[in-house]
Amino acid sequence: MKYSAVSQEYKLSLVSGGKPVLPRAANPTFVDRNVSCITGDQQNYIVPFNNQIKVYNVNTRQCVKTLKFANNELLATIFTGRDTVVTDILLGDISQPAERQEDRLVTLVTSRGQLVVLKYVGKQLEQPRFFQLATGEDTVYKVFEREGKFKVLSVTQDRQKSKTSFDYHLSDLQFSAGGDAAELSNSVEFQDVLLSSWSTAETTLVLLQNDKEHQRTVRVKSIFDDDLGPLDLQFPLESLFPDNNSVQQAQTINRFVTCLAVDNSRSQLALGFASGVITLVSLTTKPDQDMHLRYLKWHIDSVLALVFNDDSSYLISGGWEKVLSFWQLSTNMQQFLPRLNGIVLDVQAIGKNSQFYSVALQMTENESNADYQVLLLNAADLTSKLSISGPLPVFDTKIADFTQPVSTINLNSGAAERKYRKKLLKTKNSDFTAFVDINPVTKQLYLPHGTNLQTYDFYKNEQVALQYLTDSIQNHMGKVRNELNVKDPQIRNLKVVGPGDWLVTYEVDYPPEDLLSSNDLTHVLKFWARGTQADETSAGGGAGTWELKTKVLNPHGISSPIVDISACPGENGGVISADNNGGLKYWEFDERENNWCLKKINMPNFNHFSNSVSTVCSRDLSLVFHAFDDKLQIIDFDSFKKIDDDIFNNGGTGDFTMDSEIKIIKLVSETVLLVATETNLMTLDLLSGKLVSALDMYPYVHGNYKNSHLGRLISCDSKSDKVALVINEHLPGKELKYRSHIIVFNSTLTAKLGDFVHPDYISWIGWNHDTDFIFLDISSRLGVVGTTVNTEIADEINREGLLDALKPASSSVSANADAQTQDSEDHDYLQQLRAMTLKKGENGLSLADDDEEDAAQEIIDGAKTGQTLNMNSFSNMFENIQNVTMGTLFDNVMQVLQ
Amino acid sequence: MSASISQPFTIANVPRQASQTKVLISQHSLTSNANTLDVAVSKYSISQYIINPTPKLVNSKAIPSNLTVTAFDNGVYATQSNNKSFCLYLDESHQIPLKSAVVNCLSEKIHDESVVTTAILQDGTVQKYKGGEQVFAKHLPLKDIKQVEFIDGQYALIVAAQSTALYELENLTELRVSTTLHFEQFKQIRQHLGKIYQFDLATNDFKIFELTTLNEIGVVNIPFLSASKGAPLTFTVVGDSRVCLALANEIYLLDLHLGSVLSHNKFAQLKQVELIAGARDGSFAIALSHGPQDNAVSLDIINLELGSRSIKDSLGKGFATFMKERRSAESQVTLRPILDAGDKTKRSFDYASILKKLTAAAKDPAKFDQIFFKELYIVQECYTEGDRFIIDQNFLSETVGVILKNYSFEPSSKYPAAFTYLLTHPLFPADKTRHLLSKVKQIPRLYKQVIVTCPNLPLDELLTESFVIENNELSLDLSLKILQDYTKDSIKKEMKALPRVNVTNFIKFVIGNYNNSDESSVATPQLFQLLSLVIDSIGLFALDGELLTELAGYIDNMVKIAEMNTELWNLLEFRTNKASVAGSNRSKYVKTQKKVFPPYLVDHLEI
Repeated sequence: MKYSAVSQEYKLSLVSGGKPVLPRAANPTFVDRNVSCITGDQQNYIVPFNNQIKVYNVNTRQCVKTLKFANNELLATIFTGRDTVVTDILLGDISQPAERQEDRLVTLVTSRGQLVVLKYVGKQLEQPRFFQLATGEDTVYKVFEREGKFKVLSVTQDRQKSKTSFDYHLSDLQFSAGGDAAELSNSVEFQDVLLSSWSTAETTLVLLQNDKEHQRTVRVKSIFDDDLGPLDLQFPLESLFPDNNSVQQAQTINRFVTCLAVDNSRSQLALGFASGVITLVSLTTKPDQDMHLRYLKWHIDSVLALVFNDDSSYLISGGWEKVLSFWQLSTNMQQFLPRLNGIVLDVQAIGKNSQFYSVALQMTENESNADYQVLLLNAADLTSKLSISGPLPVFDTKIADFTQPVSTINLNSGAAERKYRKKLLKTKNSDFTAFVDINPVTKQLYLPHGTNLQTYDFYKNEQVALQYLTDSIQNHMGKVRNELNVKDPQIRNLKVVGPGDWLVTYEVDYPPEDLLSSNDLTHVLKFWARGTQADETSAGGGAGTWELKTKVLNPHGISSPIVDISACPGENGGVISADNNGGLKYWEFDERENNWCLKKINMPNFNHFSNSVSTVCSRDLSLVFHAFDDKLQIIDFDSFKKIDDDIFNNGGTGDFTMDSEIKIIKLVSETVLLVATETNLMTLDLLSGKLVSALDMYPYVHGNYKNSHLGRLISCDSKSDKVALVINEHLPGKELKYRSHIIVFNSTLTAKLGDFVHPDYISWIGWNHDTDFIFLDISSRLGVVGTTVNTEIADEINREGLLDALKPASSSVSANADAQTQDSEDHDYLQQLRAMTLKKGENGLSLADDDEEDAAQEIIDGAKTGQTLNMNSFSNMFENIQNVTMGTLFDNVMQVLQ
Repeated sequence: MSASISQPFTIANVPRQASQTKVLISQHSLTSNANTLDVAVSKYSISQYIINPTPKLVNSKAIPSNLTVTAFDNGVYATQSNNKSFCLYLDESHQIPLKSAVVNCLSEKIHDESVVTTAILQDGTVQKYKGGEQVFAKHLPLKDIKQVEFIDGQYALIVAAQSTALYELENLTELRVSTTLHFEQFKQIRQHLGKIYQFDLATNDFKIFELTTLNEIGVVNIPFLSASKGAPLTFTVVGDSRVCLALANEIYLLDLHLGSVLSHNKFAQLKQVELIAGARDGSFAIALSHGPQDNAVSLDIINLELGSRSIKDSLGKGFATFMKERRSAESQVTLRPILDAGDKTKRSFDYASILKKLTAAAKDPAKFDQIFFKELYIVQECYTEGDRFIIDQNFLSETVGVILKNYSFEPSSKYPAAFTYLLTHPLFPADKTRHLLSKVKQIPRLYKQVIVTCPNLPLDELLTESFVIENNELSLDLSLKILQDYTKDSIKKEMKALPRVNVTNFIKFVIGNYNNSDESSVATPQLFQLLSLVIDSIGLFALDGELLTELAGYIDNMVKIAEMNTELWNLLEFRTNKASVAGSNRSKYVKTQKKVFPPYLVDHLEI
């Protein structure tokens, strides 16, 4: 039936997601990888993401500000490529020593030698101040500061040399008198640096260098001339090894330094080795004496992070064990902070008196992507203040631009990266799709991540929960040496069932290696109920957590995998699982048994095996469409048997044979079935059994995607019967570049409703059970294609604009506006307000006079406390109300009320 | 139960009359549990029938032949005489003369057992009677009322010449009025469950309105009706979006929501079926049947089965499949490029003209081939991905049809190479595969081609062929094809239908194959698999003793081989496993570990 349709226009915007970056992790010689910083008042924590800068409030644990690169013209041009990243963050405008305004401004340093001054409080009104440093081909990694003096650490990217050593340059940074230009001078070169670190106070640099005889040398150098006096100490690494132990010498692994640290007082130096030993060197010994050495042994694999605390009483180390170890140096006591989510890549003591530890973790169970998590710990009681991560997609193949940290046990890291990048460049087709599912009610995204499940709120742009869904050693603690052979179970598929009340996961458990039974995988189907209200208050529980209800071992028989799971529509809908031999099973929650039970079964029926299996239920639950290899069968749901009659009057048996194997089938509308094969994307009219239309997929799909993975790039809007399709293209050239199209079609694929280009590879697209499609690209960014889209979703900058719009109408504002407004006349005040409102409409970048601007901003800020609410105060919030969860709405309301 | 329409059965005959008979059915007869049928026939009678178990007249009251019944409900009726005098008959003792005709009336018992009758007159007057006394009268601001529909005894939808209005009956307050909808656009309406259905004869459209708002919520075109324009058409609504439509002597049960014909029945013994009412729950419809002789009219009940309201009932029953002329230019399917720009391989064909040329050249294989391969840009002799643009099933079907019609496939006769190509096309039309095997059997080259590449071959033919064939190679191809294309269940089902002799022959063939084993004829796993299906389907006891003994011996031998193989495998794997590197990491992303292969290779096993 054709109901009169309202014409809708689709729009694309990239509004959410992104992942925290450890910019210096790209260069293996840097030990201090994390660049997040805390503001002077110890209230805000600034974390760079790959698409934005986020500011978190330490007390409320909420993101209070996002500076999105895409929302600012200048930032958008700076951060176009994936190569340009924020490599350092300094508080205040460093070009204005007189008024640095550390409480409002922040200076970003990019790898290309650009300095950008941004506001992290309030709205970005003017064009940010911008400097380009003349670093040539060098990559800027760090700006050191001491008493108004700046030194820039840059690294020469020598393509000829091996990737293990680099040439460092330390140059003075000076700003001209007006603060309009910046220049570098007095460059000091450090050649062949293998590893580098600096003290927490940023006064001492410690380097591991190759000298001319290819002997490794440790060099400790003061960066500035300060109270401790200049220092340039050099000694060969060999001197640290006891000569008499020839056995140890033979093993290079024991002599491979993986990280360095020097304390603030320049009295101690710590070297972490790949073998797990930490060597503590006292720098205060006189040159003619033997060096005082201490060995700290606890780690079983490479030490990846080392730092001294402020007063050098503690050394903090971390590595592959996922444990943070605190060495009390005076007593040899050791304390631990175990069960972190990932391996410890970086620890820094930050804040006033090292009030906080900033910890960077990498979840290495995902080998396809660098999943970083940034933690902010309170140094006093080691409680977690902030835990920051982006969406954690697991891509089907490893993406190119990251390196795994060094491990002695896990040998697959390191050297292969470059080769892999080359390989990716050569192959035209790569499958970087990821698996994501959407909760129809809360609209949260579910991303399976190895053994755990991440729940991510697209609209809040925050992780909601990270829950372990499988039993594995990794869940409880890090693995010890022998356990690295044990492969963790993997979540292969999951589906949200019904109105978000149930979750079905399919996981594969691996038996131990090197047994006759090593290939006998265990297939597990688990049914999870959503955490009940009572649990939300208890520890560990929460809105996003799931409770295991039923677990089925080998649901389709021993060593028979589940290749597809589809959720049936309806309130009490069940789940259909399909194996690779044509078998189907229908599971449903049985109230009486209080368990999920097998309700219907269709035995494996084919004489061969195929992984190209796709099932979908008709909306009225009367039919199941089952695609197996190149055949499409229609199954009567009641009897759960194939319909064998000649229903389409074509002499056949009611099933279809396609031109090639069927990749995925989806139901577009009640009567139209979408069938994607290796060559075509077709729509099949079920009422006539005829093709309605066909699109040529062959050039884009052939050989690109594994069996059912094409389904991740096709999504159907079952409310308005639309189809969204992603086409990924690998752009030819020397750089590894991708481009993708998102095309929205009507239900029969006959009309294009939208065609968008996204400059990156899209890994997944899904319907949000409303009007929009949400997509995820390989930079972990989330975007939306929809009819209700506006770029303001979860966008702090514009939200502030929303606040500002409230002011002019209310007269009580001026009444409440206090001391700050005294110097301006009443009518001036009103005019200013009007001017501001106008400006905000034009993105607020055009006002000429800075002073006036500031005054106006002060008025706004001051007036905030006393503003009244009117009926329009919340109206903007309701524009997207259907997509917003209660929590987000609450946040929005609170923001207006503040 | 799937949807169906049963044959009509007659309740009563309606006498022949000069003008068209007006027959009215009391509303309460149409509720689901009513077993009585109240019928008012103008100029004839008011009758009550019992329907079950057999239709029987309960009582009847004659009506003078000058009186036309204009409204009828529950024993209350209104008449119009030839000389334009109007009267409302409430019961035996109360007959109320009126100034204007009653368009419709509603009569129902209220809680104190008294009967309340509401009559809506053509001039807009509404009168209510209780126990024969008028208790209420109101004049509505509507002129020339044409049709009134009572809804659940609470509301009235009134269609006048200039407007349409919805009234609440208790106090006769106007709920909604629409002047855009009036009788001209709004005739032939039926209401059901909050929706108004109207059929537009000019465009063959069903228009659906929401009752409460009088807004149009959908239009459904019935395309197959355009072929039979002018035939008398009546319809009645039998369920949500389900409409029973009568056209001459055919009845269609339509699903307007999905756009399908759920069921269709043609009553050859009748000239015309005129639907006058449908049961609320859709279990039956009441119709006037016009027999082949003029004016022989009977009142019939047609039992209906609505089915499950799901898409299952509508599969393959879309409106389009009922079209007489199915193949039009618009139904062509072309493979379109997804992205507009930069696609050089885009191709579209004018199938109609190519087909015309092909038909003209049908007798000449060389010319046929030339046109075929040139016009469709086919480079190779078999289907490749480059030919994916040839996707129109109708065209393929027609082309194959032309070839099959013009060539006899005798051993020495020529045939176009295009046919060989078409046999490799994965979209070879399913409707042309029947009898294809027997047709080309004379030409071994084509026969093999059909078996190996042609999709959608009928299973029964494949099985028959595989059971009678003597050639080892073809037998292998056939069994491969069967196992590949069909599921175990369908194979077993089809085997049961085959003659027993063929089956035993097949078993003998498989066993014999093994016994006189020379190198070329080792029983393949496929044959063995097929054998197991054969035994499953017919059962062991259907075989005679001798054959069974042979079969048992054969299977024993096979089991021995299998056991031996397993032992050998274990031995091999044990060896290789020891050599594999310890501590390997089976990550799918990084493959650093090299598999260690055994230094020897096992090639052939002598058994």
